[in-house]
Amino acid sequence: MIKKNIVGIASGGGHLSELQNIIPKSIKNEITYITCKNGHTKESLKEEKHFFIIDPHISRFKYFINTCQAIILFLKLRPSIIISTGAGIAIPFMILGYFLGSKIIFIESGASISTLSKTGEFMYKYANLFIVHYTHLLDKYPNSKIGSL
Amino acid sequence: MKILCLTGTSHYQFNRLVKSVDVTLGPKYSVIIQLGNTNYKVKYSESFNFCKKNELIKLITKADIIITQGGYGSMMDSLLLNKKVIAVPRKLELNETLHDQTEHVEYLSKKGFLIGCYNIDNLSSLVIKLLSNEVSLSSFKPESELKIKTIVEDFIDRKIKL
Repeated sequence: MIKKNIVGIASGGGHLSELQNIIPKSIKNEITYITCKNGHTKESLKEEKHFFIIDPHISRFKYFINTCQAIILFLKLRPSIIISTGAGIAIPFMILGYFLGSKIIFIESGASISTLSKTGEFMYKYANLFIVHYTHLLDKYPNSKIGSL
Repeated sequence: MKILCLTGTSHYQFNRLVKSVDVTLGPKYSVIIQLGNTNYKVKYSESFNFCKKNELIKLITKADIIITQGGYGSMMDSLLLNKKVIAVPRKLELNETLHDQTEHVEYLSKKGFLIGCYNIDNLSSLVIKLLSNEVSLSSFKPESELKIKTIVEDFIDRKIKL
């Protein structure tokens, strides 16, 4: 069995719930999570391998810190696959992965019905697999896969 | 009658929702409000900022009605536990969020999974309607998770074998 280095990265709250909900059982033991640190995430990731990274939200300075942390974590984990549901917290890590040979899976939030989130819009051209929930998003972004039934 | 109000983990305040729940419902019902980053001083209800996920699930389970922001996590946690949910979307123009929640709330509300509340003044009348069973809700089915799991799994299998 080939070792898979898989990283799941998302901001705390709904994005993280969404990511945890769509992780298939077959990779549950191989995934390392990266998220922001708060009481809620500490608890829900208690039994998973995880690291914390600063949530930049809209601050450029925090994006800089986030990028530095992303570089350190990337060198440590060397993921072959990166899975994310957003938001901005995950962008530097995914871009690093894109240039250093990881495969990027981006799953747009189920909350985005007719327009992509800002992170999704940005990541569309970098993701190797881009999943949306709704058919009218599929029309607008034809390289996506549709996740809805 | 227990009401639980959720504002999630957003960086933004949601005074509009918290104030309305506290003032109009707090004196009449047993109300608990998860304030998140909202700093409104609650007068008539119990409140706290954040809690651990398993504690939140317990609170949701115990509540009769959930009044929540229109955030993905808060709504899904409540719907997956088959709760009666009223969702109030955070609005971009009121500086309550980076990503307007109206569209997702409208989508879930059209499917009949929850009640969307777009004007905060209607909140208490919606609670009364829900209590008197004037509106019925259909039980929630998580539509897309399974399919996404399969797509992700196939992709990983293919990439790892290559």
